[in-house]
Amino acid sequence: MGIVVTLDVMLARRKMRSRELAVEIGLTEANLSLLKQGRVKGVRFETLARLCAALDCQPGDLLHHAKDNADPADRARDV
Amino acid sequence: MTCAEPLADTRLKRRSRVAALVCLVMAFLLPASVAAVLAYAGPGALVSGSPSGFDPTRLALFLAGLAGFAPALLAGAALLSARACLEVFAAGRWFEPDAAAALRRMAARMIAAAAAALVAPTAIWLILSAGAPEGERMLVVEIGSGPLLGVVLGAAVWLISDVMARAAELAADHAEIV
Repeated sequence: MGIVVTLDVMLARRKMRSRELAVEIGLTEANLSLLKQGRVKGVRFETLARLCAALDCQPGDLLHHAKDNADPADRARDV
Repeated sequence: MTCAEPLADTRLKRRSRVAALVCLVMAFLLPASVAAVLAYAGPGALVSGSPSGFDPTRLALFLAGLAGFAPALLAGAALLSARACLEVFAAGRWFEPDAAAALRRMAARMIAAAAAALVAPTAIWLILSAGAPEGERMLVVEIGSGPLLGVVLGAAVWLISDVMARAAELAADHAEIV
């Protein structure tokens, strides 16, 4: 899929742990981990809004569109 | 995050558990009661009309009994499949491929039971009167609303099982949305 999740980058910038974020937005750690790895089929607007509120960022800071043939990990590092 | 289970879910689970138990009991009671009738009154008691003084052999009686017992046995098997489906619901797994598969098995067995009930009277009297002199053999055709309704219901349950299978796919898809 052409969408790259850069949640881990934003977590590092905010110096926040996954567990703290999971508790704050009311998501299980397992689901947050799957989201960080981009192994989900979709994100609800509600979850996205909570993530943005908790991390004080915009949806565009968490999700990026990239061409399919590039390595998602590389693209995440480039952000 | 933990949250309390909705009351409707708890009720549905409890009802499913009770229904599963009823299905289990019925699955054994139904064939047992038919077997008791067969043992007590003979295969001819399962169909309307009366024998005209046949003296069937033991083998004919056994085969006719088998033909009379088959619908009840298949209905019992259908109830066991219904129980399997209800057990999945009782576990709180509403849209699971297991439940859809169990429902489909139930539908197939329901249709088979109804079809067997349709042909059972014909088979029973053909077998019982096979040894009778020419001209005294019986061909009985019984078409009742019960077996026909069973076929229609079985087909409807089959369709519902297909919808359940689709719902299970959607639920699996939905589970991957956070």
